[in-house]
Amino acid sequence: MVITKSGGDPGAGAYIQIRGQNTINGNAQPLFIVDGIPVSNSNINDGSAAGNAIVQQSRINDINPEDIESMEVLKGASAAALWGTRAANGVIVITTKKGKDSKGKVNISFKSAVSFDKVNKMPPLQTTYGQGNNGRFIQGNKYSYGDLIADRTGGPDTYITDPTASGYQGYVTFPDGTKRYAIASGTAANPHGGKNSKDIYDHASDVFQTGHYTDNALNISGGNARSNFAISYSNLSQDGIIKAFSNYQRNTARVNVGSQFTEWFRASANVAYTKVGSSRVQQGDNLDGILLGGTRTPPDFNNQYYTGTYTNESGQVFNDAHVSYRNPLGIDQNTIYSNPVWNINNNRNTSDVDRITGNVELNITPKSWLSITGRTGIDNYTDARLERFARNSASFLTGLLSKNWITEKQFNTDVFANANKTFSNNFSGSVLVGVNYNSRRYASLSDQITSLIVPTAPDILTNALNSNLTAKNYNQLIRTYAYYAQAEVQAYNMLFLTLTGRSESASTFGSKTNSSFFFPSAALAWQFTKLKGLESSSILSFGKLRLTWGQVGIQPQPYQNFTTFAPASFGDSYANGVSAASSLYGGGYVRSTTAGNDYLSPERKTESEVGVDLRFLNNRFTFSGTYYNNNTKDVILSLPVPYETGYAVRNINAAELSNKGLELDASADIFPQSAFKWNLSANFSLNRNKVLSLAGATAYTLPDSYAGQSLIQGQPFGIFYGTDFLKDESGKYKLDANGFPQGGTSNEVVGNPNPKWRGGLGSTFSYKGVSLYLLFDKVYGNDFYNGTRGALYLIGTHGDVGNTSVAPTGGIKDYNGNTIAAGTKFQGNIQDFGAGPVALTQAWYQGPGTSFSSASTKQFVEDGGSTRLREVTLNYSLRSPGFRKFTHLSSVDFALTGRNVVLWTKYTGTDPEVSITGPSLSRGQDWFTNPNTKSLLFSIKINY
Amino acid sequence: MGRYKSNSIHCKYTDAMKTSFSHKITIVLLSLILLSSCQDLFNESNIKSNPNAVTDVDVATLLSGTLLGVSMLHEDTDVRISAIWAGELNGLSRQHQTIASYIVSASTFGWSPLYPVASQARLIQTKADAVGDKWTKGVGQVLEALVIAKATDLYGDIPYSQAFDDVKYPTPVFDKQADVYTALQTVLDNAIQNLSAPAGLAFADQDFIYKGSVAKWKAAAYTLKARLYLHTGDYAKAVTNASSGIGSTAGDALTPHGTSQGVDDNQNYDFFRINRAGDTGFDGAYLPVLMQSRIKSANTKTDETALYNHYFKVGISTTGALDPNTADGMFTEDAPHPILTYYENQLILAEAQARLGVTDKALAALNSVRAGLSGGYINGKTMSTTGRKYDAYTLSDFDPAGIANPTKLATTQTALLYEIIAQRYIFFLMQYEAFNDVRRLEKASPKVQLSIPLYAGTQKPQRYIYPQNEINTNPNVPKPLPDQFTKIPIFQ
Repeated sequence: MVITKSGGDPGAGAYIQIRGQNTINGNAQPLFIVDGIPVSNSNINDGSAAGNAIVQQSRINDINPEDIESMEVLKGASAAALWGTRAANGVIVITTKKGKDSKGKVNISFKSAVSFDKVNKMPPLQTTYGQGNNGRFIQGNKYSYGDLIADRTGGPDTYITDPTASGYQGYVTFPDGTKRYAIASGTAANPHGGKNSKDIYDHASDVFQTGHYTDNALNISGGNARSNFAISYSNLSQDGIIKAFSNYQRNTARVNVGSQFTEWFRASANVAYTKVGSSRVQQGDNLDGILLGGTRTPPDFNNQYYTGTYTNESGQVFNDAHVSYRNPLGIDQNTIYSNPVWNINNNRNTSDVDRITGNVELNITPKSWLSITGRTGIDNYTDARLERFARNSASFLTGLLSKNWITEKQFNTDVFANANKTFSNNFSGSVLVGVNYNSRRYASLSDQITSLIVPTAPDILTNALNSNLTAKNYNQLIRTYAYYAQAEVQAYNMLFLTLTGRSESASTFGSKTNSSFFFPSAALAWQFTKLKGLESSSILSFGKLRLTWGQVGIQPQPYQNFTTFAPASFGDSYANGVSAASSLYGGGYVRSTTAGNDYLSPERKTESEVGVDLRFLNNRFTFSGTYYNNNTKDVILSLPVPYETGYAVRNINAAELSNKGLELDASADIFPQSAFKWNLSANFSLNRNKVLSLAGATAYTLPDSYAGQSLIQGQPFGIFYGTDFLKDESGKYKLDANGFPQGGTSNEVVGNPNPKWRGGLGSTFSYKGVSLYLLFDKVYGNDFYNGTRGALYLIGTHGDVGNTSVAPTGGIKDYNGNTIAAGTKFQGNIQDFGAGPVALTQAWYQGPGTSFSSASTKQFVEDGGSTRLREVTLNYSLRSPGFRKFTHLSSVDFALTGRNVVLWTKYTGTDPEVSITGPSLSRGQDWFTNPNTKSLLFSIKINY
Repeated sequence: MGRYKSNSIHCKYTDAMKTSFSHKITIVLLSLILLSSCQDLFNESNIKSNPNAVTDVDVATLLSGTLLGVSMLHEDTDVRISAIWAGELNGLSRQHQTIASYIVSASTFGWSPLYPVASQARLIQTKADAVGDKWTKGVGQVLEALVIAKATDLYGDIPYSQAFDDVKYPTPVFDKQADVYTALQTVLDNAIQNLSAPAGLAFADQDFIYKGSVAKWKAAAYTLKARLYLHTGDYAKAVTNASSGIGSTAGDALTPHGTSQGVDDNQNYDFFRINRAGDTGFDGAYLPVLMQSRIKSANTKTDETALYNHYFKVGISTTGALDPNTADGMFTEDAPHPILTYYENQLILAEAQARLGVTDKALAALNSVRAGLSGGYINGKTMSTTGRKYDAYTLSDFDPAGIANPTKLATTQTALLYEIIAQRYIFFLMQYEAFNDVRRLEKASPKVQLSIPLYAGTQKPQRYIYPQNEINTNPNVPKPLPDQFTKIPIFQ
């Protein structure tokens, strides 16, 4: 299982993957079950937020971890057959803490933790060359290919303050009273122009701080022989690593009660309420993204002066100026890239979630061999989101306010009967039959205004002309019902056979396909150490062989069976597009470019696995290994079709995917007899996936891909499908006359984001009440696309382009064919592509050498493998009889934990664990992604 | 939970269970929870139909939506790339900087929304036939021809004869460009015939280009025919059709724009000013150089200052940059954008007549454009009076020593042609016809060209590369894949 955080933002969503990718269209995340009720783990990136790259939360984060008694991961299809068409990506079953028979005593436990978090890795930035172009300083220029900062005279800059002088542009007055005027550009004679200052600024720390959170949880529980209760409350309060508008507040409360009223009747109820409020900043491919504006800022520009009052040439004064490196005087409505410091103080994106989950369960035991259970639960939440771009923001010069309301409501009911029978000493069995009904509603409503009339008004949607208001809504209802049965047989205390079957109907199946589908599974376990000869073995203390086979379905997304018409709107990669919603255009509609399909049926995943569990020397050493092989047929694909058919995609049961893998776990108790204990545990897993068929299409490019992540027949899932430099038949680069490679014209496979293997190594030392836990993990052999590096090459701020090189004897050619004379210093690097060394200068980095060009995707594909010290925990537990007697407490536990402590990676960007597109299927890409964090956490837990 | 109906319940398994229930509470529980007729659960309007979209619209509504698509296709990235490759605009940063170095690949380009819009135009015709309407059908045909003409002009051989029928032709063949041109002329002939019907459906409210004027659509169809004949060198037919084409600036097909970003703002404004400010501009481009040569020059009948200031403005994106005039010129937020115009019609007429040797009629057509410019009108806007001078030329201005013969061409015909193509080049800013001209004039006879320098290398870009999506989905894409320097057939 792979869990990957989408970013270092508070509450950021996570990508969870169990045994490889099994589907293309829709949710590839596992199903979460809490106390028998499926709950939402949505990570909805909708509304304008999707375009503005705000990291959204995964809804499973709403659970208080202190409420969790146990968590079980059901990986295989057979284990999941009981959970139906949403279980194909695995099931995570969470059971919450219930009260126990405490003989009337009330157990109170209080846990308090404080954590300090900071950025763990940032892309390298250069600090040697100033703002400008072609070696000359130019104020407000987009690049950092300017003058050598060290060669400047030092001291304050020479401003153009005389209104009659050429180049006078007015001035900005900062809040501290200082003023900034235009600075003369460099010339051939004086490349520095009026820029004298040698000050440089670290833009990696412009907006970041040491974030922190406090997490307090109180659990009270108790019970007697018949009834029990558990009550909990928790509060998590986090200030993120970004200085402003980055926080997360979670309050949870839970009540779990149960009572055995009579011999045959038991009732229980669990209710939980969660309230989450958070603010997030923008990231990614977005003019207001904090990393985009920050890392593109020249090293000699101070982002801390981000606002002020601009006075123009004719003396007109504009308040609330946005001062950024492209707009150093804060000229009104002229921002271009935002200053990240301005951004975090002006643009606000909040989310407020209210969520209630709960279930009621009744158990009836009419006969000792028969029990009947009815369980009904709900999971309802609303998420009220706000996005606000202040006036003078880069993306919305006149401001934007957007409000989105998202609600999800899930209702689930199971009724099942379980019968047990013991036939003889050697045979026993049980049968379970049940029925399930599930209903999920999703609705969203969003309203957005641009061109705010009063820029400082509160968040009201009337603050714009009607022509600048857009509104939309979306509704979705999915229902399923299913009948299921499970039979278990035990023989001779060593053979265990489980058979399951589920017949399911879902409202999302096409109207012209079968209304129900059947999914069977079988599992056989043989505990061979119960055999006569092995029973008393002193070496092998436990041995079990497992064989399972099962099928599980994946539901289509709703409404894919219709071809629809929608209000016309047309966009473009580099412009915001037009929409028929304008009164100018009369509200036209056009046919959707997605062709509907009445024959959509569920995807069907078949998995078989074989495994072994072994324990040796009285359980001192354990080993478990599993090999699995799964295959998903009829994978629903938005199959790209030639546009000239009139459609862009057709939803069709078309593709076939497979995953095979190996999972190994081992543990060892090194000093079983001593007071000093050392436990080692290790795990290793590998997964190989392959796209077996794509229904005739050569390639299917995943949505949200920056490196062309695609499905191609015969290739692993989501490989990078992009360009490489032009090659000849033998695969060598075709170099131009100057010795530089040339841009490729069509795509090929240039990388694979899927790791070759993953491994983990854990070690626990303990002595009496003290223990030290270390956990290392490793991801090996995965490619990562560093688009950020390629983009910063063009801008000139990347660490690599801050080098000063010296032309070797005989001179050296740059990309434009100009010769740099021997001994001349230049900004850039020297590289040999096969025809002798050439100079990589601004011309190269702004031509084929940038990820903005189509020349070569491959040059930015890096090794994304990593080894990390994931966790270090030092625990100290006070629970001696003397302590208990003295304090009347049962125990006090102290823990000091470091998370994500050390990262070893060849990857040159931020932590390769984060992903720009959140938990989407396009893996392994970096495009100005907000960085990941490392944390130091101290906690204390008091049990009464 | 509130919407849950307690009436339903009970499916197949309950029969088997029933006998064993001995407690009343069990029955109460089950009747609360089980379901009586499961299929009824799917009898909900939110399941039977898509609650978020309609499944059909009438022809006039579709016409309006399609017009918007056609409008967008005249202000999109493809058009901006054509402007860069024609030397009119320069790419200065990020993606557009590399495009200006002619570094592109199959994934630089896309056929959406181009072909989907063309298919909407075809769907208009199907829907018009269903209700027996000729007028909307005719407009649908003009729109289809406009879009397909753009496709073939940028890509050469393209799918057309088998397009728009996904069931019969899931992977359409690529037609020869000459055949596409022939087919387009036929489509436009049919359009003209349909638009000549005595009566038809009213669509004034949905037609934001011509407010339902069938006569204007008909004239536009003739102008488009003339443009296509000019491309193929059928100058006589170009003259005939242009003579029935758009007859005044009132007949200009212009997309109106407003001030709402991402809704109705001018897409060049959106690109130049908001989305990609400073990524393109006119520093290093040939167009401002050409226009500067017509200011305070020997050509005393011409002063391009007003138009120059209408097109360009210094210092919007950064100090000293020669930027598109998004402040008070051609690229303001609400500036209309041209699709087909009277000036183009007259310049087709002028060039075709000049090539046929009918210099007097050619001159009259050119002077009609100059008269319009002299009045300040351009693409629905009025430029400043300062530095605006377009006096009527006489043929003697094109003598070897004439005032309007800056390159001293030997014959009146070639000198006049030079002036016409220069006028076309200037007028077609941000229309892909400028890029068509640059490539077409390498072949058209007599050969007269502007000396437009290349931004990089030694090869002139000649076409767009077939999009990666097409390569991925249609095995009929020509192999080997023609690169950006391979000429398209009609300009070979």
